[in-house]
Amino acid sequence: MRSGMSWENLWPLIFNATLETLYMVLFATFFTVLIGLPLGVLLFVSRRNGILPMPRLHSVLGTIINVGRSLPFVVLLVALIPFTRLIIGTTLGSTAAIVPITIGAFPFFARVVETAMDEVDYGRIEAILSMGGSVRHVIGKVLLPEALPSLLAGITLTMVMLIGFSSMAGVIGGGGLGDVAIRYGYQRFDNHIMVATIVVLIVMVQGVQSIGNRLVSSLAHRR
Amino acid sequence: MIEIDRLGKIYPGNGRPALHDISLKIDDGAIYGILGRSGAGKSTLIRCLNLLERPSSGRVIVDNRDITALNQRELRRQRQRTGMIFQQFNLLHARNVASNISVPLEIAGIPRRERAQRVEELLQLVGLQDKAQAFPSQLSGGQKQRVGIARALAARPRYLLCDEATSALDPETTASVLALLGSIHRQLGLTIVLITHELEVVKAICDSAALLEQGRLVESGKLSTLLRQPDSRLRQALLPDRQAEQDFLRRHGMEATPLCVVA
Repeated sequence: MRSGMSWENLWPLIFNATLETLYMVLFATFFTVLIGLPLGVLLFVSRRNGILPMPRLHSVLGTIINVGRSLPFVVLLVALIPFTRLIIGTTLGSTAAIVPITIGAFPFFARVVETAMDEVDYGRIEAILSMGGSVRHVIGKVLLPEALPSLLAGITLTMVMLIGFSSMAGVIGGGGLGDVAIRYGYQRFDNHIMVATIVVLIVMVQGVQSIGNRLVSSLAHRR
Repeated sequence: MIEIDRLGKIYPGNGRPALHDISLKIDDGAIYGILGRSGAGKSTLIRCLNLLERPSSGRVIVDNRDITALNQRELRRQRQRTGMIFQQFNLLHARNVASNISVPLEIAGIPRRERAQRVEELLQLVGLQDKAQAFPSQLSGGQKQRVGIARALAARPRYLLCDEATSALDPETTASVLALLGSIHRQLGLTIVLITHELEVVKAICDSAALLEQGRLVESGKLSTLLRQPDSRLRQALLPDRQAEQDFLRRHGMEATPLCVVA
């Protein structure tokens, strides 16, 4: 192995790749929550003994989510290429990578949401129902606010997973740190770049995790 | 008035019915205690009064309307007129005390300014003005139940259902919560239905009572009537056992007469 690129050339490369990764992760997290949150709530309330029982719908949703979760992300990434082209118009670049990342992550996040709702004490739901609350009231006044600490912890978990996904998107030319690591670290054996991407990824994961932890503990009085 | 008419409840996959052929009349203004051991069906019974639990058979008639026949919208209306408090309080932990009390008012669609005013009145009623901004996790059990009571009364219900409301509290706190319920009953004249396994609760505030055993109603009625019937099970349960008391005193070297007579 040899060390390749000089430090002056290395930093702009890493810097741009970091921005691309952040761009992918932030947008993919946004869309993952946008799709996964309502889906997770629906999954929870539609249970046979839930507050809006729809066992048929529940099992259909459950199956779709399990299928989504059983595919390894690399396989999903390749399998979704035609779909991505349909939506974005191209399959290259960070924007295009957001599509498979979101699709790979929202089933996971929906399960996280369902579990978080499940942890909310049923008595609090019963209390709202006893006041004449509707399903909408139960969701808005109990499920979401009472589960907020668990939801934030779940979003943190998902974001860390998405940092991993976004790196894999480098395989199909998604840009970002994974792309740099593959092109320079793997194909050109450039150790400097390999080490730099690893350091940035570690810092990123640590940062996301500690911001997440801080948010969760700021809500400690809600337990 | 609440009339429970031949009420039955069977949980699927469970042989013995949780409730069997229960008929009961709860007069307006009563404090009605339903007494029973755990597993007797008390919780199921009180949950049938606002249909948190759907009975398998029979009717629940509140103010001359069979609530089992109401549609969703009407049922929610009906529930707004029936407050409920719980053994585990069931306060929302993401909200402070004032905000917890305002939940039923939000559900009833009352404007913000009126809500604030009503919450203020209720805090005063339960003696928690200084805790308005506190979160449930910062309160004692007795304080939490006071918030629960204020919340249950917020929408000015005609009925208050108490599901083992004092069972998680120590004896002193129990006494103060019961005293609060008694004074609310006098001030507001609402009808209180409570379920409990504690005789003391029935003794302290009830004017009528029912005894539930293994899903069946053993007896029910006004305490003033029941106490006049020598073979009444409730009377036997509520009054001290003179013989046991005297045996106890004798065993410890004291002669016949108790030092103080429990009324």
